[in-house]
Amino acid sequence: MEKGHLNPITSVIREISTIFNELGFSVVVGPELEDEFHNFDALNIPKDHPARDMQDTFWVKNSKENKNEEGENKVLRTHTSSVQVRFMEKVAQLPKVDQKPFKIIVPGKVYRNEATDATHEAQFYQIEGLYVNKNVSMAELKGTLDYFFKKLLGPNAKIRFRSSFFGFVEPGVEVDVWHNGKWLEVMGAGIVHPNVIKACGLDSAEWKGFAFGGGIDRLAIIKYDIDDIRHFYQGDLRFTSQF
Amino acid sequence: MKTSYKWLQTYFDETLPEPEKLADLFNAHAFEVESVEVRPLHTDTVLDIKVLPDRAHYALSHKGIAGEIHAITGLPLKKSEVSKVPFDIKKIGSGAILKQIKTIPLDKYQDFMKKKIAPDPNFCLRYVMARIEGVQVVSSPEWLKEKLETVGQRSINALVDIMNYVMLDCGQPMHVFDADKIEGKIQVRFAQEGEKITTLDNKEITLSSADLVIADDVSLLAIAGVKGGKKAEVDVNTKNIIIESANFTPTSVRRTSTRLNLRTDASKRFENEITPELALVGIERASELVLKECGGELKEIVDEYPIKVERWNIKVSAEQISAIIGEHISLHDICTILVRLGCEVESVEDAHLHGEVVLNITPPFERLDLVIPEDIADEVGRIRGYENLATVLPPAIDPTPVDKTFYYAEKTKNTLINLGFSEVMLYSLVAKGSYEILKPLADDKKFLRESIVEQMTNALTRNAVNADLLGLDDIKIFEIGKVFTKDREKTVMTIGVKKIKKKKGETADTILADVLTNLGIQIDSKQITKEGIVEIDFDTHISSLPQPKDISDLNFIPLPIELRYKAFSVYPYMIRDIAVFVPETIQSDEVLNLLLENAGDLLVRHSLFDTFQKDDKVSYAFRLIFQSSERTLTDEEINIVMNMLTAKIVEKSWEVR
Repeated sequence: MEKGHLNPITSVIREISTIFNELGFSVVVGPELEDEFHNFDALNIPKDHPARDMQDTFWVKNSKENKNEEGENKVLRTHTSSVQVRFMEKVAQLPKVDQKPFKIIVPGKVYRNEATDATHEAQFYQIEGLYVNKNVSMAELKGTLDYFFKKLLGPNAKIRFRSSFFGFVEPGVEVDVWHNGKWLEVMGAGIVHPNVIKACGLDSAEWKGFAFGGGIDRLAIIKYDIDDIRHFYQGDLRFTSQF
Repeated sequence: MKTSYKWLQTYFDETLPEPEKLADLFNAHAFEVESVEVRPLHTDTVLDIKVLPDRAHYALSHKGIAGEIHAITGLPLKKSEVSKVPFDIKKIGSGAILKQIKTIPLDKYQDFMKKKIAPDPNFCLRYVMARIEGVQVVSSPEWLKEKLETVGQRSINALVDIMNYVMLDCGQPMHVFDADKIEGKIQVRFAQEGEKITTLDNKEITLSSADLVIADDVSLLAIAGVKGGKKAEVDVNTKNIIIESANFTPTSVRRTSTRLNLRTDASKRFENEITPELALVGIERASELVLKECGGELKEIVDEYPIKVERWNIKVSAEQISAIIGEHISLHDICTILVRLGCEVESVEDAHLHGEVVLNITPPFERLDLVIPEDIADEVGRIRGYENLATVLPPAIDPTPVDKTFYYAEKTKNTLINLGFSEVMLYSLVAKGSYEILKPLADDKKFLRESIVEQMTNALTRNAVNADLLGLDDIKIFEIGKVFTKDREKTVMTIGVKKIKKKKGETADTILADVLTNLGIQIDSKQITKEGIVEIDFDTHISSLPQPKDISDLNFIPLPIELRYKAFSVYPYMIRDIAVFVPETIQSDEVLNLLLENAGDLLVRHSLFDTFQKDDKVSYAFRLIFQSSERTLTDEEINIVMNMLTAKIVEKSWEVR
């Protein structure tokens, strides 16, 4: 019998998981319908940050069935970073002696309230990575991502860090990868902000971390020369059967 | 922010690196440069710099960006802060204005301002006003016009232009009122519910009691930090003016500008928070320039500053910074960078840190982003640059167990793929459900899906049309994904089958039953919909399965590295069957090759669907699929192709049945 085909998003997630598994990172997942605390507050994103606006976020109507204990509106997660928070919270609940360093990656579906076109989708996939230990450095972040992209895109791929800003990391950088003769912006990354570590209930003097995150769709698009992000979600076998 | 290269140059004696080079430096060390545009006649180059919120406290200004150039390149800034203002400052007397502020007695303020102007330090941190009498409203000098026009601002008159110039130069929003149009005294207060103001661009705006305003005794003069009003607008007859340099808090300004959907250069700066210390810098520069360009006499300066902000410090050791970056960085290098950024740095030995040398860093007022040791590490890291930073792999540690749902979903996908099923990922936002989106993109995307069945039904129908093109006997697809039911968010596995080619004893139901047996799932046959779809609660399915260790036994096989996607045609395809009678010594490949050689580019798929022997002859029946990537094909053009194929077959002394 002729085999079926995986959606290329899955193929890329599998490749990413395999590469990071070699480096000791395990796959962890979390809910898509989130609360404001895990999606924004705990990630050091200020209350009045524009990212929380209607224009960027799908807020879900507060009704009896879906409101949490505080009666807040829920949100379709805008990034997989919310799972960072959930995982660290779990570690924080362990007795101190059982709190161990960890390396996780989180592939998953995320949502943005934006009009769709060939390069934008209201739903897409992200990969998030988090490494927490007593000492964690930008050099280790660079080493990890350099290893990853060389495995994913071939030995000629190289990365560069550009100074940038994301509330949940400090220092924060934009990660570009050199592929097919040009620099492409593929990830945001940095050292986990102590406020995030604290918000999760861990001691920020003791625990440090690095985190990175980027779009999986974009990686698939780069890797396979896909011309339109919407193909991933049409369920059209004329697309899927090529992979 | 649109930044003029020539303007930046005024901060330096030495020649700056070329604009393109400068853009590269900014990209690597500070900000993303969105464009570098040479002005007509090469008079200047404009760099459009994307200033992110953390640097917006100081870098929405030419001064702030010049400071970055100094920090990155080490090029010395001109000594005097004010000497770049293109007129002879000495004639007016640098510092004279500051001196006046200190000497004007408090009671004099009463002349034009209510004593308690700021209603609440949570909304207005500082309010500085300068009253200048006897000005002449002239048009701007060329240098000023040119600077503003370069960065996309329209020149209005010297007074208004100076206010804009000062803001773009040092980052402090400024405003100017015609003093003679003010009735009574100036105050900062909240608007009354429904109070109206006509703005400078002649729009009437209705305010709420949450909006901070500048008012006189009678009516409104401006929406604080957002936009000026028509009432006290300066015009050609203006003689006496009041310059405002204030500090409104981000909360106040954002609330109003968001509600009114009114984003201005001023509101953008206040929303990102600027230090109230800057208000004095603004009033001084603006006053000096007004006196120089418009004449007049400075009468008074008022400074309402209820709670003066203090400088703050950050303690961090070189070891801490090196640990965050991951490389040894010398104390000297760290200090050089910090001093260039305008920080005051002293080193102290800290007994608590085992005699380690600790730096006590006092950032400049405007660097509201520098608060914790990690902020300092960020500054050191980026100015030093990450280009040559070592690449180090983190140490091996005990692995975390893989997520169970992920593991079993991937394992199940392997089984389904082997059974000929392809994976789809359909939209989570649909027309019906329990969870309603507050601001949906469209009416059919108003809810979170409760099930994948309906979308799967549509996907089967859409794909069935292409079965021949894809060479599929049946459409077999699945998704393992999240749905959102009243009780919880859960993972379901939805599998769909649509029979295309009839086969004895086989129906969508029997195919699905086989698949589920393969997956070890028992169901009631009623669970299969009439469209051939079954949806399984995946969470329940895996609940009794053991926790896996890692993903290594899932045998993920990467796609070939050279695989590239080819855009598929959106035009309809055509099917033609052809059966060829050939001597039994002829293989099907030989017939196929003849067809392929002569069918042309429009033939996109072919299959041998029937073979039978009669005496010493064999019949091979082929199905040919034609499609163009550019247009809808006509019967006529495909008939021409088929006639050609027939002719070639006849030439071979074969026979078309």
